[in-house]
Amino acid sequence: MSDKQTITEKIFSRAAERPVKAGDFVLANIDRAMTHDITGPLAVEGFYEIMRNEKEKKVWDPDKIVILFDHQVPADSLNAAQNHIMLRKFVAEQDIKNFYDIFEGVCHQVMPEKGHVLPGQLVVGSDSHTCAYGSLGAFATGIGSTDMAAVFAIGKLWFRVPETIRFEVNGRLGERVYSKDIILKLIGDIGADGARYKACEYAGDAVKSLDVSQRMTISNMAIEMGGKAGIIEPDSITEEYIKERVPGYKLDTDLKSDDGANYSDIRKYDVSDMPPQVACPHNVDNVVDVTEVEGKKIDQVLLGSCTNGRFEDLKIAADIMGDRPVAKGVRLLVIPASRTEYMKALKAGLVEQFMNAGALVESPCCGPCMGGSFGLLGPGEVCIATSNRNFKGRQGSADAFVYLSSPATAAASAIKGKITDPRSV
Amino acid sequence: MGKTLAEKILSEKSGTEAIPGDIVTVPVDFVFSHDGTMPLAIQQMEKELGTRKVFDPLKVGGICDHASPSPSEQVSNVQIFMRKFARENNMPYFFENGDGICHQIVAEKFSAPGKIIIGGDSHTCTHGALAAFGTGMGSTDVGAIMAYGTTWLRVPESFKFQIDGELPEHVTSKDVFLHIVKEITADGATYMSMEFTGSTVKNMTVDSRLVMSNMAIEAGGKVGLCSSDEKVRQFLAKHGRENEYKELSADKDAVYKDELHIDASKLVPYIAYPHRVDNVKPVTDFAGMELQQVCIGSCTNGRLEDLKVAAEILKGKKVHKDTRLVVYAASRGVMMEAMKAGYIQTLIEAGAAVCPPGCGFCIGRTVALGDGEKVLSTQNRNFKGRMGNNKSEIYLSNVPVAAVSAIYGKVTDPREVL
Repeated sequence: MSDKQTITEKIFSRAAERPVKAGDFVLANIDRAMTHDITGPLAVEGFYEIMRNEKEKKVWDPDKIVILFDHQVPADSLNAAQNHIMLRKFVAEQDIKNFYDIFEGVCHQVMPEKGHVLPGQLVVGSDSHTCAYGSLGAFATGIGSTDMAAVFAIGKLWFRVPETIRFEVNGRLGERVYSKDIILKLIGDIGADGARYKACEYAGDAVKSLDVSQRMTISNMAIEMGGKAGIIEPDSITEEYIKERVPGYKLDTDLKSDDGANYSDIRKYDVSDMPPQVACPHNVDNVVDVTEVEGKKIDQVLLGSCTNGRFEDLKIAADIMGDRPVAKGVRLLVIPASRTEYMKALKAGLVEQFMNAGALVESPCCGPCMGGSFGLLGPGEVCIATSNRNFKGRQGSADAFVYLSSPATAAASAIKGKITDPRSV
Repeated sequence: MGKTLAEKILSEKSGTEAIPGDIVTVPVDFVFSHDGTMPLAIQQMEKELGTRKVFDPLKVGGICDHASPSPSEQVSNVQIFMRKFARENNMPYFFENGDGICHQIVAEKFSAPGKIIIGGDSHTCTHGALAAFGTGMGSTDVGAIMAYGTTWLRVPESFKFQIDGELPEHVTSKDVFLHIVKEITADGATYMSMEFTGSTVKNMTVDSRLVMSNMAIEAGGKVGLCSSDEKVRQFLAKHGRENEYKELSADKDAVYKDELHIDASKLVPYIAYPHRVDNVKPVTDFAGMELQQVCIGSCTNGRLEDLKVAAEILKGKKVHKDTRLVVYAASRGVMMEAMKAGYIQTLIEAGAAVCPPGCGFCIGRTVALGDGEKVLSTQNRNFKGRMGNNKSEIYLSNVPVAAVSAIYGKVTDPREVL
């Protein structure tokens, strides 16, 4: 048995305080635990249930817990308002300093943005897209509220150390083709359950050349092929990003998969000639080249979410739209992923540009992405979205149709009123 | 005999000598409805009148503002129903989610002195600030107007509010109205034309006048009218409609059913406390009361002037950590102007959630409060349950009080701290 390890095995070895390999069951120390306004209340209830016989009902470490409101903000219903009150009370009782109320943004954007995620950490969040932080070289994964309750209590959680699938993506992306297209391609090929419980490790020069924003998109969607994590080896680009948030941060150069590490699969791609990709209703792995669905009439465009709601995404869309208005009869919803991203867009004139074009620019939130909040679809309506899921009913009506694409494809479609190849506008 | 503003408009429009108590028939210059009431109006047209055809597509408006963007599948369906109707009728004035609140859009694009504006919303009295006879009606009436373009009205008696003197600092037109409703109560002007006049009104911006007219219904008023003047002309010019301006004021010898004289220099910032708009006391009575949420916006106080005041107060400051500040601009136009002036940036930097133009928090369709929460809002109504929860408390105030209270997390008198 070789002692070569994947980055995932390295992270678990540190978190479990012993050398481990894929397949091992471990009780691991959690570096950071995140919860939000939908799954948080259940986790808090579970925590007090666990602590019912304890005199001191305190969380294991308040500084390692992050709580944010993003799914229903500002509270869009009585139920949401009550959930918020309950969590604010928990935050106060437990002295949790890393708390972000209704205005800060989507959890998966705020966590990295505020420096709550570092390379090599083991991070859990009670949200399936927690895998997004793999973009910074953390092992991050979504867990249920019951598990989160246990983490709150003891700061540890059991895992089966996952095997790793390595995706080696090489080549130079064509014009108006982005990381979203890469991940859609990968998911379309391997299928929605193709990487179940695997650590998806993204490598290759096409990945290495991406900025952090585009890396986040790829990691964010690992769960859409069943992945336990979507990890990218941290490098100088990662280090720069962290340094802006954690002054003086220095990257551990050993934080990478060893040569000769054991992979359950290695999948190689050359994306040089890959056209923009679109996931068609009602599964994320129902992926085709944009040219196959061109001309499909749309009612709504969603530009935003934790997948593609950053300044860079908005800029790509704005550049494609130029001074062209949103097509008649189409609603364009723009939802920046966080307050910081909103401010960047505002300062760069993008918010004004979108509003001039006829868009509705929402305060940072999850919006219609998870079907719980603003901008829902009615029956028969068609939407192209930059978010991560197109399940039946996900954005409102079970009789609506959601296509997933890059911000470029979404923007091109918004001005044409139909699904459009961004290379053609 | 001289005429009040309401009598003048209705006389001209009906071609009769409109005297209070008369029933007159008038053509309607613009009729509109929104995603809360329009579906019913369309259904009534179909059911009662057997038609889905509007009398003039250029004079009928539809606006998605009350639950925008759609927070539920039910609302999405309602909006689809409205869009279909607008398309069928070739209505160019259909406003989408994010375009703004009906009353602000209609004020910017359609209201003008002497016009009859009917809306399927109680605060249609807003348009009186531009000397238009604006009034809200139920969906059955709105449906009939959408089909026929005319309506009957009982000519209202008029109530004159003679307001003179200079408003003290941090006291606004909102306080003038809260003072009025305190004095005459919520049914003090039932079915009357409330006519605001005097040097204070003359010196007010149109944005400020719109606040008083908007709230006329809170005292039972059928309309809330101001004379037209140079400021109204400029407002129309700004929105490309200077040609729609005309001079309109009440005759000197007009007869009023009642009059109230107000010395504006004696007014203070007021608070309307739960659960009635006429529960009004000076802000000092509530100073120190903790607030969980502060809301700036709505068709009452979501205009450029309001956002400017809020931004000036919040510049370089932070919203208190235990309080949320939610801001809604009244229209896309207002939001864009506020953005260009840097107000939106300032508000977000201070920690506000700035949502897209619409009714938002005010009617509790897209923003709700939790049990026991206290909110201070610049809107027009504080009825029990108005903001989505009948176990919460709504306090109403002007913008300076709201902005400064957001900083302190409790009701704060701006005269004390600014």
